[in-house]
Parts: sequence; C-alpha cells; structure tokens
Amino acid sequence: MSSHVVFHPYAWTLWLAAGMTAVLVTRNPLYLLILLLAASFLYAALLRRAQNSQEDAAHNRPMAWKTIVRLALFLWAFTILFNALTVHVGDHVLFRLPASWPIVGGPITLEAIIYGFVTGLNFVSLILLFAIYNSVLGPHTILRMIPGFAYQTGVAISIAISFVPQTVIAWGEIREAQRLRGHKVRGLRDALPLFVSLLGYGLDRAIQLAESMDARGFGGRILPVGRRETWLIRLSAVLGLLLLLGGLVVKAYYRSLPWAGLGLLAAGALLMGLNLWRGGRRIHRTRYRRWFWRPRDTLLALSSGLLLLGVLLLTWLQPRALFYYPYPPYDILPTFNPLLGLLFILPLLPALLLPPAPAPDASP
Amino acid sequence: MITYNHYTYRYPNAALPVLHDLNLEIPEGAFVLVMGPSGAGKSTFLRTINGLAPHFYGGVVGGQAIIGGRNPVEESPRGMSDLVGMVFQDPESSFVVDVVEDELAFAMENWGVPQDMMRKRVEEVLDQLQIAHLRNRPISQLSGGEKQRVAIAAVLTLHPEILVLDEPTSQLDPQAAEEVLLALRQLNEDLGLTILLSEHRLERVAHYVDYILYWPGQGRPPLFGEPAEVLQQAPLTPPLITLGKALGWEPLPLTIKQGRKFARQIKDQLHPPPLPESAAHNGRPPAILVENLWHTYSTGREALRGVTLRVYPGEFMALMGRNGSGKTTLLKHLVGLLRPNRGKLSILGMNPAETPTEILTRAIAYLPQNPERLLFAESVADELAFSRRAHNLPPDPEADRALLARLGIDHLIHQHPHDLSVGEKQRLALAAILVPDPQALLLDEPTRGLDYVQKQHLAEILQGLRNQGKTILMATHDVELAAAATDRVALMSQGEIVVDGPSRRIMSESLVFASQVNKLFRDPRYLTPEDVLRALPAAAPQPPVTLAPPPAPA
Amino acid sequence: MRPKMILLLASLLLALGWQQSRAQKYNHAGLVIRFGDGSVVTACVQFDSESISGSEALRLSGLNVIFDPASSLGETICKISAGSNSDGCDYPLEDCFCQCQGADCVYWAYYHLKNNAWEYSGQGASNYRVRDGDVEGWAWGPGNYYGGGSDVEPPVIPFDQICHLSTPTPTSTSTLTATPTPTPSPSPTPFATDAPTPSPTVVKTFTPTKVPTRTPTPTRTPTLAPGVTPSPTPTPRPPIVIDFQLAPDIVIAGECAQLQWTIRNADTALLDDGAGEENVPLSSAREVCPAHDATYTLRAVRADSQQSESRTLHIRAPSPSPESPEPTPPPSPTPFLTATPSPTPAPTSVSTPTLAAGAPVATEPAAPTFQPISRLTPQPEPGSEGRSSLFTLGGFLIILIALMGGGVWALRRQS
Repeated sequence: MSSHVVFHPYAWTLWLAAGMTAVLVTRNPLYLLILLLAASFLYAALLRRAQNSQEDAAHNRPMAWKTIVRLALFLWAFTILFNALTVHVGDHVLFRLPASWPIVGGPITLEAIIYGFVTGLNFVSLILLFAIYNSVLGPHTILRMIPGFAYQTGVAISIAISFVPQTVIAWGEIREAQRLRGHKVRGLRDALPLFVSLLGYGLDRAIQLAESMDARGFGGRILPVGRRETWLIRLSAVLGLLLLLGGLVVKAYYRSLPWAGLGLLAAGALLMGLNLWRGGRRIHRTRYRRWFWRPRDTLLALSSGLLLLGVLLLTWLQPRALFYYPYPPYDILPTFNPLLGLLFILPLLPALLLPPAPAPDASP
Repeated sequence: MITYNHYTYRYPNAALPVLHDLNLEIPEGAFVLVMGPSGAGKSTFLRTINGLAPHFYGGVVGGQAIIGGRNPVEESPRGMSDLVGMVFQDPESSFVVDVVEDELAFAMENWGVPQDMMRKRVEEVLDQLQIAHLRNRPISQLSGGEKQRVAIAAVLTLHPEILVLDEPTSQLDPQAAEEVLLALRQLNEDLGLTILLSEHRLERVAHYVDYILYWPGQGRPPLFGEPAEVLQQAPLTPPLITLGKALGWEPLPLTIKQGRKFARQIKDQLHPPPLPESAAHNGRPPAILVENLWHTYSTGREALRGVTLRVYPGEFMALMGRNGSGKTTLLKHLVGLLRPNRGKLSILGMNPAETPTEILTRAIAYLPQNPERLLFAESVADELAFSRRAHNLPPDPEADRALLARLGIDHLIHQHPHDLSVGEKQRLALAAILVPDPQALLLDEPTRGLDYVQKQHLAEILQGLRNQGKTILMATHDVELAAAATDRVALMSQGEIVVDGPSRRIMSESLVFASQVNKLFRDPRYLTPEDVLRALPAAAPQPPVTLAPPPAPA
Repeated sequence: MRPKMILLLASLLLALGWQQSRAQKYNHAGLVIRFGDGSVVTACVQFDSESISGSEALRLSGLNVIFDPASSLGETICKISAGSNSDGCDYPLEDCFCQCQGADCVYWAYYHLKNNAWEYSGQGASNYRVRDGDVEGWAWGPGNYYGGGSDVEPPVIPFDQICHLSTPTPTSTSTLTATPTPTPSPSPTPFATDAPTPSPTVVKTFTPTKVPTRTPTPTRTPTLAPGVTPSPTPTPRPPIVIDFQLAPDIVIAGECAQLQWTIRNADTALLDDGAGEENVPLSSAREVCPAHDATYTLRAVRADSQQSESRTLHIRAPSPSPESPEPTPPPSPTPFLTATPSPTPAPTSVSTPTLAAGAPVATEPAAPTFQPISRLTPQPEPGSEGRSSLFTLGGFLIILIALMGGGVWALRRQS
C-alpha cells in the first residue's frame, strides 16, 4: 500500500469541495443523477484499481467503504418510502389510504415520492463523494493537511484511527476470554464486564502511548509569544466570535435582509480563520512528506474549480436554473439545461486521469 | 555519561521511595544489562534517565542525576528526547501513524528538523536497522521483531547518544528477540551508543554486555559491575550459570562454549540415575485426542494440516514451534473456539466441535496468551466469585481462598486486579479458570514476560496440578521450562506435527530445542541443573540451587 | 393474546375508514382572502370529514398556495396567488417570511370569523380544525408575527354569502329553506361523480376581482350558484343569477364608467353605491363617475334567498409613468384551475360573479415583482415549444451517453 497519493491532496480536496457544493445547492434530480453516475463510475474504477494492486482486505480502502455505500442506498429506499407515506401534498395522486389512519392516511402522491427520491439522492451522493475522497486519501494523509493550529488535534485523531483496528482485536480477545470462563453474554448486563475490560485495555494503551510520545518529543517547539501579540490574538478571537454570533442573530431576525446576516458571518469566519492561522504559525514543526504536483493535478484542480465556481455563480445570479420543488404550485417536471448538465459531469474527470495500479511494493 | 548522586525517587502516594540514595556511574559507550525481579525498580530507574519520572508520573525527587551533561529533572522528556531515546515493551502502543516511513519521521517533525535533513536521516536509519524493504508497509502488517526494530529506528532518527530499552523482547518470540538484540549489538558496536537494556533472557545477552546492573529489589541497593561478578551474586540466572555457580566454576561461564570446558571435566565423575521409563499408559484412552485435524482460515491459509496427537491422562505435554506453526490454532480447537474443517477431536470424552465452549470450560481450563483480558472485577475475590457464578456453581469463599493460597496470591485477595504485577495477574487468571476444578489445562505461551523466579513458580504450580492427575498441554517457546517440567514434547511446524515423544529424548536430539544443560553435556540424561547435581558423587556437597523467595506483598 | 389485540385494532381502524367512506354528508367552510392591494377573493370549500385543517381548507380552495410544510408551527403559508393577485414569498427559493425583521412582519395573517367579527387565530393553519359553517380569513399585511396581532383584516363576509347552500344535501336534514330549488342535471357537476371517494372535494368558486370584461361565458352554468352542492332531488325554482359588470374598472379621476347588470330568478334588485341602497330594475345599466374609489353592491332578493355582488371602481390619478394599472392577465385565464389533474374535474365556472368588497387599488401594479406562480416553467411560444423540449431531451441523452462512455473507458483502463 502506498502512502504516495495518486493525486495531490489539495487538488482532491478541491474536487470534494466542488462535488459537495454541487450536490448541496440543487435538488434537481436530473443534475444530481448525472453527478451520481459520474461519482459511481469513479468509485468503480477505484475499486478495480485497489483490487489489482492486491492489497489485503484490511487496507483496501475502497472496499472498506462498500458497506457504508450499501447502507446509504438502503437508506435512500427508506427515505422514498417514508416521504411517500407521510407527506400527502400534491396533485398527482397515485392512490389513497383511508384518511382516518394516523400519519400514513391520505393520498399518496407522486410529488412526495419524487421529493423523497431527490432527498435520498442528495444524501447518497454526499456519502459516495466522501467514500471516494477517503479511498484515495487515507485518513492519515487527510490529517496531514490540517494546518498548524490544529496539529495536536490532528495527531489525536490519527491515533484514534490507528487504535480502532487494535481495539477491535482486543475486543475479540476479551470476548473469547469471557467465553473461556463460562460467561455467556445474553444481554447488555452480561456485556458490562467486557466493556470494563476493554476500557482497562484502552487506558493501559493510552498511557503507554503517551509515554512513548512524550519520550519522542511530541508537542513540537512552541515559540514564545509576547504580551502584545497575546492581547491581539485574544481580542481578535473575541471579535471574530461576536461577529459570528451576530451574523447568526441577524440572519434569523432580519429575514428580509439575508445578505446582512451572511455578510457578518463571513466577516466573523474570516477573522477567526486569520486568528487561528496566526496561532498556528507559533508552533514550529516541519513536514516530511513531499507531495508532487503533476499535470493531472492541474487538470483536476481546474475542472473542480470550474464546477465550484459555476455552481456558486448560478446560485447567486440565477437560482432558478438549479431550482426544483415538485410540490404544487411548482411544476413537477424538472428543468434541464444541457450546458449545466455538462458541468455536473466534471467529477468524473479523475477516473479518466487515474493511472492503472502499480505492482505491489513498488513505489508508484 | 550517566551519573547519579544520592538520587532518590518516590512515586506520589507511595510510602517508600523506589530509588533510594542511588550512586551510579555509567561510562560512555557502555552496553549495560539491567536485570532484576519484577517490581524491583528497574522500569522506574530507566524512566528517570529521560525524565519521564518525575515529569510524566509525578513524585518526589532527591539528589541529582546528570545524563549526558543535562539534568532530566530540569528538562522535560521532550527536551531530553534528542539525547535519550526510549523504546518500550509493547511496540503496538508506540506508533502514531500508519506507515513505517512516516513513523520514523514523526519525532523529527516535532523537532522542526528541516525537510532535507529529515530525508537523509530516515535513509540512514532504514539502512542501519535493515528495514529499508519495509519502508512503505503499514505498521500493523509487520511482525513483532520488525515492529520493535521500527520503534528503535524511530527514536534513532534524532541521533540520541543514549538508548534505553524497557524489556523490548518480552512480547516477542525467540527469533524476533534475536533480531532485536542483534540490532542493538550492532548499534553499540558500530555507532558507539550507550545502551541500557532491561531483559529477562539473560542467556542471550549476558556474554556481550559490558556491565550488568542488578536490582535485587526490596530496598536493597543495586549491584553494578562486570557480568561475571554480578551474576555470581544474583540469584536468578539461566541454568548454565546456575550450574556454574553451584559447581563453583571459575571464571563463571556465560556461554555454552565457555561452559563446555567445565562440562568435559566433570562428565566422567557423574553417575546419573537411569532414565525413567516412559510412562505406561495402561491402556487408558487418551485424555486429548486429535486425529487428522485440518483447518483453513477464511483467507485461504492452511493453519493445520492433518495434525494427529494423543495426550494421556496425567501427562504434561509441551507444544513447541515457531510463531505461526499452528500451536494456538490447535489449542483453540480443543476448547471449541474454532471449528475444524476435517478431522476428529476429543477431549475428556467430549467433542469440542459440538459442545458449546461454556460447557467445555467446566472441565477444561484454557489460559490465553494475554491473561489480563480475563480480568475485570473490582477485587481478586470478586474475580473468583464471578467465575463461580458463570459456571453456575454455588459461591464458596473458602474454596476460593484455598485456591488462591495454592497459587501463592491469597495475600492479594482484596486488591484490584489491575494493580497486580504481570506474574500475579497471570496467576489470578489461572485461579479464575481453575475454579470449576477442571481435569485438563491448556496454556498458550504462559511464560511471556515472566522472569526466572516467576517461571519457577509457574513450573511448580503446573507440576503440582499434574501430580493431582490433571492433563496439561502447554504451547510455549520456553525451552528451559519445557525441559524442567514437562513429560512429553511435540514439535510443530507449518501446521504439522514434526515429532512427538518424551521430553528428554526429543530435546536432547534437537539442535534448537535443547536446554542449556543439554547443550553442555549432549546427553539425554542431563536436561536441567538438578539432573547434573543429582548425578554428582554422593560425597560432594550439593549446594541447593538458590532461588529468590516469592516477592513480598507490595 | 397479542396477535388478537392487533387484529382487533386493525378491524376497528378498517371499520372507521369504511365508515368515513360511507359518509355522504358534506360540510362546507368559507374562505376570505384579502391581498395586499385590497383585492379580495372568496372561496367555498366542501369536505366530508368532520373537520379539516385550516391549511387543508386553503389547499382545497384551488388557489395557488405555497406552504412551508416543516416549519416549527406546523405548516405556514408563504404565498397565496389568485390569478393576477399574488402576495408572499417564493419558498423555498426565498425564506418563507422574507419580509420580516424579527417579529415585525408583512405576512399572511389568519383569522376566524366568530360572531360576525374576525378573531386572530391562536393556532397555526395546520392545527386549527375547520368545521362545517366556519369562515376562515387570510389577510396580507404588516403585523407582529409572534405577538399575535396583524394590522390588516379581511372584510367581514358571512358564511351564507360565500357558500350559497340553497338546497339541502340528500342525506342532511338541513332546514335551510322550505323549498329546495331544482337543479337541472346536465350541468357538469364537479363532485357528483366523486361522492364515493372519502376525501374532501373541492368547490372552486372564486374569481379574481379584476375580471376581464369579456370572460368566456360558455363555461358558465346557469345552474351552479356559487358553492352549491348539486342535489339530485328536483328543486322547484332555479337559483338566482346575477350578471353584474363594470367597465372599465379603473379610470382617471373625472372620467366615467358603465355599470351593467342582469338578474334572473329574483324578485327585487337593490344597488348600493356607498350612499345607500336603492331599488333598481332587474336588468339595467348606468353610468357612474365617482370622484374617489367606489364600490357598488348589487343585491338580488327573493323569498327564500338572496345574493349580492360587488364591483369596485378605482380612480387613478393621472400619472406620466406608463405603469399599467392592470396587471396582464396570465396567458391562460385559469391555468391553475384547468391544469390540475385531480380526480375532481375542473370547476366549470370562471365568470361567476364574486363578492368583492374591494379597497382602492394602489397605483403601482398589484404584483410587480412576482410572476404568476402558476407554473414556473417559462411559457414557451407555441412554435418553440417542440424545439426546446427536443433540445433538452437530446442534450440529456447525449450527456448520459458521454458519461457512460467515459465511465466505461475509465473502468477498462483499470483492468
């Protein structure tokens, strides 16, 4: 397995941001279906590539996400059913359940089914995008992208992720050990001793790990900071948080001026971001990994940027182009502009640029 | 290099200091073996070198320690990490990242080493420890020995001058341990690092260390000196050295090669008793019967290939073999944790493939590799009471207490299981599975992490159980224990039984699985020091082999 | 024991449902909707369950309503449109309460008619149960959404004037009138065929106030008085019919307009021009030149019933800006009425006169920024309609094919 990623992590993150934004701004099933199809092909290509590189099952990340993707599909079906049965609004009535039945009684309309379909489609698309992102960039690579101020959090998360498989193994051992004592786990109360044992194991390991990390100088060198700088950071943090809070309040209160609230929120976020960035610069640490930026990364970044910008501009200038709401009085037929449809194919691009799997143990 | 002046250290909430008025001087480039019974203070001492004690554990420090010109009490472990590299017992718990190369770079990243220098050092360290072929592997895929070497490499990237290792091989099998110790030897010789190694397997390292630091524990001051000197005074030693001390060989031989000379001299004087006949089975059916057992894992790997084995009632059999040869798999089949693909199994008349494990464990006790996984109750007494309940037996505190006494831990009856030492935990786990008075006992690597004294106690307990008529099957790497305690030995390799017979015969015929005494004399009649001593002429005094008393309550 | 309980419960529910479906009694409720510019629309809804929610009543009225189904108060009304009148926010494109600053809002206020006066509703539209004979009011105007007070109320119009139930329903024992009026059957009745269905049925009876002077009349059924259930029983006398027209309905100050009316099946006609009622002939015409906005109410009376209609004449100050005071009627007169493929056939009458108590219209157009909500797809010109859908469909197919091709190629590259 290689920690050398196929695409540069920043380019991939841009891809994910573009895909997610595209999914979140529209409810038009035609555009969403195009995007889902594109993402599905990409996922299938990644699966095949992982199979060819002959990694063992524990490290085959696309496979590991398969269960979650399947679960998402199941939830999609459930969403359709749920929406169809509980929302009774619409002009196209398929059949009626007696109105006296609680919750599900009433007309079952095509609009409700379609809306459930679209909601589920949104959800499944997001899950699939995440699955693809995580398949290409392992969790540790993702954590390495975290900027300096959140470094320690990133390491903590990295450790937590590494702990998981070992904890699973320990859990298996504990269960076995309890069986050896003749202890049958029938209910939650019987499982309690196992949890206590697992907790003890986890604590032991945590202490050992903490020792080891301390001994290796974890924590980095924190450059000291002057008083003026401290006050500046504190003030700007308070101001940033106030702006954020104010933005939320204004947005909720002054509904006729949504842009005022959003503006305040943006200002607050900007200020907080600046603050955190400055704080992060105080922690002096270097990075070992070099990520190469290849021509395919440029292509990927450009296409993702195009999608992101396109979708954002549409939302701002022409929201009706991406709008879809099946219930009356809106039209049940979605609009479709083939040019916009082309935009939603862009997430497929990495699949076309993906090189075939390398031989095992060779550096790609 | 390392100087301690009247150094005292006491843990928080402890009545007595662990290190009391310690005066020690360790020169640069020395390879020091730190030995002593568990709980004597070795680990604490090692942690004072890089400052984990007192910075990580708290506590009170008196006196002064100067490590490579720095004071670890003033500096934190972080500040000492570029001078002192520390490697711990469990390699699993040291790793932060997923890939070997990134793990090596972790420490340097924290220190803000420039990127090109990081890359250079990583390459160096990979070569030094010969793990270059592992650089892209995920750490979880490595073997135990490889993992420890990666752990050593990880601390080496900061170019420390002192390397401290706290029982790095205790979780490893002999081959892996050998790898690690060899790597350490190379580091000491090629790079001139000062190495402090805490290790139970003295026989592997005693002959090439420069000094031995022996902690007797119980408040007695440590001994520091040349290996032969210290071993002369230390009670827990490998059989070779025990024999040498008992027979007064001078200078004390530390290797088989050195001991051969002495052995040749006295061989003619020995009158060994005749070899005991192999126990007749009297036509009794075997207590454990395995016939043509096959098992394949879901990954396709064949773990057991046509294994056939018979253990008769009252026999103590050792199952030996490399890691991955199938020992654990076989044991798990016998207690119903795994089901065979093919073959017949029978233990105490029951078929483990058809009987649920919960029923089987009333007649068969199984001690897993990590016995602490069994323990979770609030006190030792509660553990046994829980076992009773789980087996649907009526509560019987008297019988519990007697069981604990037999295992030598009844003085700990109200302690919390997690406060016990490794050996005590193991014995508690043993008590927990012996509660229903089973007729058969299966043990999986019980000697991992135990020192000589604890092993001796374990051997006594097991022999006591065997004498009660119980059947014991033990998977182990420990040759000495097998030589001292068992009746029969079976060797496994790649899922098959290679050879199976009385311990004496098998072990003396083998190159690898021969005990030290056996290697000295090359005679099946001499397997343990007791054999030799018993064979001495009656006139010669037989000084008893001194053993340390059991550890006093904490 | 358990399965028996479930069986019992299920059979109970089924019986209830069946009971409902067998009930033939129809209930009616009236709706009065006042838009921001003062124009008023009424509707009468018919339902056969004992009560329906306020929002359901609004839905049944046939008006174009945009709801926010998931807000904290149950369903909230975001926008109501009737023909060219339209007030509210385009949820979900906009926030449902897009004209609010905190609690001070311009919004649709909900009232109930109690004792001939409007009472501000304490409950949300989806919670309040509307029963037979209730009148619900909606008014668009400023107010305090959370404080429970709106400055605008719809005009008080009693139930009888909204739902003209001159004939008793077959199963009811109503004592409305002594003699039931006959209803000739050839009229397409909106609900006769739907009696078996248990769901409430709709009577679409409203018309916008700005009725073009020459509305298509063939859809008018002489038999259908607004809001009347057809009764299969023969009624002795045809219902009152009022044909009341005002042209033009907006004039510059000083100009005149023509009132024209024809009344049938009534005995007396009374015209109120704001100064009082006066007897007028059943069919006549008159010229009116008021100085200010004036409302003319024509009342037709006979022994057992009466009806009235109003028309408002708006006076506009002469202004240079060519803002047309009359909003262009939607391309198809009643798209939302005819296009709904619900089981209830579209109502047949468009031009039945309304009860309008109009307020003077503002000089600016009634709905300057909101397009008619009827359908959000832009109405294509007749010729291009075929072309654009071909473009769309073709484009979609091409994109799908390209996607498949690319995907398959990418997959093959990996094996």
